[in-house]
Amino acid sequence: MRWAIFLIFAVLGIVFDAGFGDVFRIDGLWSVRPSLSAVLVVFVALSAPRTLALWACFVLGLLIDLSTQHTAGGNRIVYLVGPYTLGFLAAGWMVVRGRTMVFRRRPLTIGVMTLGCVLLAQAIVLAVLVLRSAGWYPGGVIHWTDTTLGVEVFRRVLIAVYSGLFGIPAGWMLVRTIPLWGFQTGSHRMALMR
Amino acid sequence: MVRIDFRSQRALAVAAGLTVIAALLPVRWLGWTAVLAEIVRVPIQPMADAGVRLGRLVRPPVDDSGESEALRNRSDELERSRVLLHAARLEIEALHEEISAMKEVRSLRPGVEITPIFARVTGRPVDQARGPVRVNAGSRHGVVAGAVVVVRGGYLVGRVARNPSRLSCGVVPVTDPSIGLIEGYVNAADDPVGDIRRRPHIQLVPDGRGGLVGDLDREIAIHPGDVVRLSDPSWPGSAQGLIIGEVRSVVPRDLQPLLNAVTVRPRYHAQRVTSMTVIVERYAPAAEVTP
Repeated sequence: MRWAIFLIFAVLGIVFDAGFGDVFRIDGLWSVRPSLSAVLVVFVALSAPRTLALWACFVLGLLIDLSTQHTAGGNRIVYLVGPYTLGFLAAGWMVVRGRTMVFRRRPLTIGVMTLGCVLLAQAIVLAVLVLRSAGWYPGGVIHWTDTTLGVEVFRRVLIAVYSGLFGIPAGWMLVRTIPLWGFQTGSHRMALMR
Repeated sequence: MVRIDFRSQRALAVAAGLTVIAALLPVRWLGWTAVLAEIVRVPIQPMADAGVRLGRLVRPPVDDSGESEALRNRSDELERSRVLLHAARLEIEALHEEISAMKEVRSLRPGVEITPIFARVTGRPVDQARGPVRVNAGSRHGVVAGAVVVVRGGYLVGRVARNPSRLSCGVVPVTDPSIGLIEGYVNAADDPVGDIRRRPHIQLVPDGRGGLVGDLDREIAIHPGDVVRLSDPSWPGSAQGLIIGEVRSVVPRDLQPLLNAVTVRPRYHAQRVTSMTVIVERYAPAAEVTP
C-alpha cells in the first residue's frame, strides 16, 4: 500500500467529515451526516495487507482524534487521543477478520461493512467519552454532548446506518481508485515469495 | 534511532496500549495533544475551509427564520438599534451604582475599545452536530480567550475558548454545558424596549436539547416568543444586552408549585451558521483615556 496515497485520502475523508459532509446532513434527524472516513477504514481494511491495514486504521483514527474538539470545564477545548484511534483500530480488526468471507471489491460489501464498522467504532468512542464525562473522573470531566445518552446512542446508530448507505456509492468510487493504491494481490505476493 | 516497522504486530500492540493510556489521561495532562492538533490542522484547515465553502455552494445555508432578504435587513437594522439601546440602558444602570467608585479609581480604569472580527466557520466536530466549532480568526487577528461571539450583530452564539491559536480559535456555543450559568432578563415580545428595571431576571443552564432552561416565579407573566437578553457580570461589557434566545415554553414545575420552568432556544446555533463575529474588548493604556 502506498502511504502517500492513503494520507491524501485520509485528509480528504476528514475534510469531508468536518466540512463538505454537511451537504448530506439530515436536519430532521439530529443533523446526522455520513462518515467518509469510516468508508475509507473499511476499504483499506478490505484491501491492504493485515498489519498495514490496521496501522492505517490507527493513523486515520488518530488524525480524527486530533481534529475533534471537546470542551472541558473552565471554557477549555481539549483534544482526546484515543476514542477514534481505538475505535477505528477495532473496526479495522473486525473487517480484517471477516474479509475472507466476503467479496471484497463489491460496493455493497463496503456499505454493509461500514455499517458494522461505524457501530463498533462509535461504541468504543461512546465508552471512552461516557467514562471521561463521569463526575468522579479524576482531573475534570469532558463535556461531549448536550443531550441524553439514549439520544446520543440513537443518533450514532443513525450515523452508522447513513454511513453504511453512503458507503455503497463511496465504496464504488474508492474501488475505481485501486490501481493508485498499490495494494499487493495474492499472485503478486506469491511472485515475491518465488 | 527508533524505527517503526509497519509490518510488526508488536509495534501495533504497543501503539494501541499507549493510546489506551492516552485516552484515560486526566484533562490537565492533555496539553501536548493541542500541539499535535495544531500540526495536523496545518494541512487540513485550508482544505476544510474550502470544503465548507464548496458545501455552502452545493447546499446554501437556510435561514431558520424563513424571512425574506428585505425583511431580514430591516429586522437586522432594528435589532442593532435595540441592542445599542439595551446595552446603553444597562450601562446607565450600572453607572449609577459605580459612579462614586469611579471617581476614586478613574485614573486606574482603562477605557474600553471594541474590535469586531469577522470569522468564517472552518471546522465543525467530525462526529457531532454539537460541541465547539473552529473559526478562521486567531490571536494574530486579535482574538482573545473569552471574547464574545455573535451572529447578525445582536445574537449571542458563544464564547472563544481558552488558548486560541495564531490563525484560528475554538468557539464554545452558548448552549454548551461548559459555559455554565448565564444570567439574563426577559423582554416582552410586544414591548421590546421597555424599562429594564421591571424585567424579570432569570438564570439559565443548558437543557441538554440544544436550548437553555431556568426557573422563574409563577406569578411573573412571561410568554413564548419573549426575548431573553444577557445581563451577566461574568461576561464582557460588550456582551450585555445581546439576545440569548427566545422563550419557547413556560411550564409549571411539578415538584415546585411556585415556579415555572422556562425553556429558551437560541435563534442561531454555532453549528448551523457559516460565519460569525468575534467581539474583542481592548483595554487602552490609562494615558490614552480622555479625562
